[in-house]
Amino acid sequence: MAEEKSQASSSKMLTLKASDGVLFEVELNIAKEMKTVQAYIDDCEDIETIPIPNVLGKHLAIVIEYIKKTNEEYDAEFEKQWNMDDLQLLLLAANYLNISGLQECLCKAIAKRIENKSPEYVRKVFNIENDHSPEEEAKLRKEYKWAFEGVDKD
Amino acid sequence: MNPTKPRCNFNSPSLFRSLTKPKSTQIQNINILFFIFIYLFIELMLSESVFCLLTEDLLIRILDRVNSDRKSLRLVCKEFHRVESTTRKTIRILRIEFLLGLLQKYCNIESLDLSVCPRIDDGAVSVLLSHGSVNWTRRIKRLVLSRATGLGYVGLEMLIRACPLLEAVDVSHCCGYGDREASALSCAVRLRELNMDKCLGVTDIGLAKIAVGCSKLESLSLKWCLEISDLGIDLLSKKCLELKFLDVSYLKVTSESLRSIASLLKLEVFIMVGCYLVDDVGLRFLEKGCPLLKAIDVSRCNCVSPSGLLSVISGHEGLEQMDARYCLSELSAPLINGLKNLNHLNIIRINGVRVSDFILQIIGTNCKSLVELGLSKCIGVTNMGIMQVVSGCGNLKTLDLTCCRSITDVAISTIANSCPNLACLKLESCDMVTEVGLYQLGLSCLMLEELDLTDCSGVNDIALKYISRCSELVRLKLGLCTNISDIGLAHIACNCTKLTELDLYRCVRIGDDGLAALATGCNKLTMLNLSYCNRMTDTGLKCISNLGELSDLELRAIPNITSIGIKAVAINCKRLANLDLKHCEKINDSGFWALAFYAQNLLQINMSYCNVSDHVLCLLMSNLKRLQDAKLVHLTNVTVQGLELALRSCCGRIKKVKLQSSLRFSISSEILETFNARGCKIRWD
Repeated sequence: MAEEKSQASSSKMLTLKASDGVLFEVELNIAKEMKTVQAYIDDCEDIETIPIPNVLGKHLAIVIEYIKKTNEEYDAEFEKQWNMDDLQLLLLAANYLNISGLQECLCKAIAKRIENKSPEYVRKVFNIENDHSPEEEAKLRKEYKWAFEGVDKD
Repeated sequence: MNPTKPRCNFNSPSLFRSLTKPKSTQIQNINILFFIFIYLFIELMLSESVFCLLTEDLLIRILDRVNSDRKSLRLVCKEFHRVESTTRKTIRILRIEFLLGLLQKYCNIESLDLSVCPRIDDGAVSVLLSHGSVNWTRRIKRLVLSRATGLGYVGLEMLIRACPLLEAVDVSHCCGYGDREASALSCAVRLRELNMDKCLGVTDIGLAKIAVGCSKLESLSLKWCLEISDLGIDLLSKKCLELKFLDVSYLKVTSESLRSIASLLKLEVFIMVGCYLVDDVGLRFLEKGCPLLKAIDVSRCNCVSPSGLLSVISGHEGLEQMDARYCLSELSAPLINGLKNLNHLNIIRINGVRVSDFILQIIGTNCKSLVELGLSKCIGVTNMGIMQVVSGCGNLKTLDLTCCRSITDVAISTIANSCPNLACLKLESCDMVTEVGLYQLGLSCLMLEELDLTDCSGVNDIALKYISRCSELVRLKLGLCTNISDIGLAHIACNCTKLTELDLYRCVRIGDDGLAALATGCNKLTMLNLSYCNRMTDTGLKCISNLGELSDLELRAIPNITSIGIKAVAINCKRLANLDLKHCEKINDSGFWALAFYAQNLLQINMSYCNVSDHVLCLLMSNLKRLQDAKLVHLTNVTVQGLELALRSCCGRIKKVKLQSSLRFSISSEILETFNARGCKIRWD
């Protein structure tokens, strides 16, 4: 909770509090990458601790690490480490915190993992139940196989 | 208390019921809210289980980034289906039975492709547009109607008037189209792109209507519209001042047209392949005109000489692309000097011209931004010349040295060492190239995607081993390389996993073992040519049937394959669209029956000289609803009546049929007339 009051704003530290109570001290310029936090700071300048109620500590740690290290190489390796559940939770976190770079990276990662896969696999991965009725599903399968193709974007 | 009950107060009786019948959007949104609440609730419980559904906008962003065709995702659940339906922007419809239903569901479509949908005609369009709500037309920007020969001017006009935002139309290869259809097209006021290649009936009158009606036109292609003359081009140049792209290839226009075209101030790309009436006078008009010109194509214009081309170059030092294939016999000294000023040139294609080491040296010294160089069939290409051009042009990505027979391994090594970004190399008929040169290629050009070694007799199994180091290879042509065998093919199969096109035409030493390796290693193959590979048997064909992405398969004159192999292919290669079985005489009815039943995606089939009988032929032609092109020359077991019945059963769907000329007067004229009327061409062999 120590706050370094120095002239340069880049070395000013902020504390972020995750939903499970874990605290993270981050530099101001890193916290500013999270547009939601930025809005918080803009509203009340002297704030010391910012609560992040929707994100677990472990995910907040990953997000902060991403912001610190992000570059092309890191992005490419980043998405390979996490399983599907984590990817989704990270995406929700990135969405809440409004970090566009991380959102983009995660959307691409999830898309890559579900492309060319069967509907059953996708259901399992997202933990969704199939709510199509058997007749609807049969009709959709018929359409899917024989009816049309998407045309690739250039 | 039921932990799943949300806090919000709904009027719906029970949440369970609203889950099973989510008809309205409001209830869908409630579902999403409900799911998000669950997620938050469980987060609070610090549980690891993740019953979380991403919000709709996140789901849209993810689906947008899915690179493959997303249609299978519609099956996942209703939410995915709805998101997919509202975000799908392009669709290519394969079968007319689904057309109406699909268009009603996908109301945000921007691009509609009906070019491969059989039976598109005025009646079909009329039904489409009169049936209930026509929401799907409101956002359409692009219509692809290429080869939709059944659609006439009435239907075309209806369709165009129904789509207010239409910006791009492709009616290429609708050979019967003429001025009435051009008049229908001119109704699209916002039209920016129009492709009318091979609309043979369009004359100056039709072109005038389009020029007046579509003044915002930026891109126009009129290849092969032989009735158009200088008059039409002149009016076009006066009315469509926004034109950036113009293709007048093969038209009978003269140099006068170029006088008019020179006044198009925004023109960037001008293509005039095969305009044999245009000469240097015309090109001189271009010297002072079209200030923004970036690309010019004067290939096959017999009357153009180096001085004409020089005029174009002198006026446009920002030129990026120069195509002069098969029109000049040599490059004059002034022209070569002119090349020195073209520092932005990316693409030069001078196929068929006589070059020299000096010329290639000039290119290498001055055109440093060269990305593509085409020297196919050029006379005078030597090792020294190539070495001089590639050492200057290190950014080369495409190099075409087809039929440059003097090229040896020395040149290949230099190319490999100088051009690390090389993506496409064509060496057809360069028979002095051996594994020595290809070793260097495999070492240095790891970005190589396309390699053409057709008729290179120096290529052997060791060469293939070296080439296989290029793991990014996508297209590989080894036709007529008679020295390669299964061993070499196995190397390729092992390492080149991204391969989609492979040509092994007449590689007679390839057998079943090589094909087994191929089927395991290169599972992304879409095009495979095994014609005349006569060691192949059904075992090999069964391995090939494991290639799930296969769409083009050529198996001409393979004596040992029978119906067993064909049946495996028919059942397993679900995307098979193009099949060539000419002269495969051991395939009998049971093989063709399997094709008729299972190969529902077939678009083209060549069954000439095959042993099929009357009733199976009829079954085939009537069952394959997507078939558009059939070659049925010399089917010895088929009678005239059987053939007529088969033709009748596919009339209206099929677009091209090839039959032997001896039947020209045996087949009833009524059938021939009906085919003609429905827009289907019969070719006589």
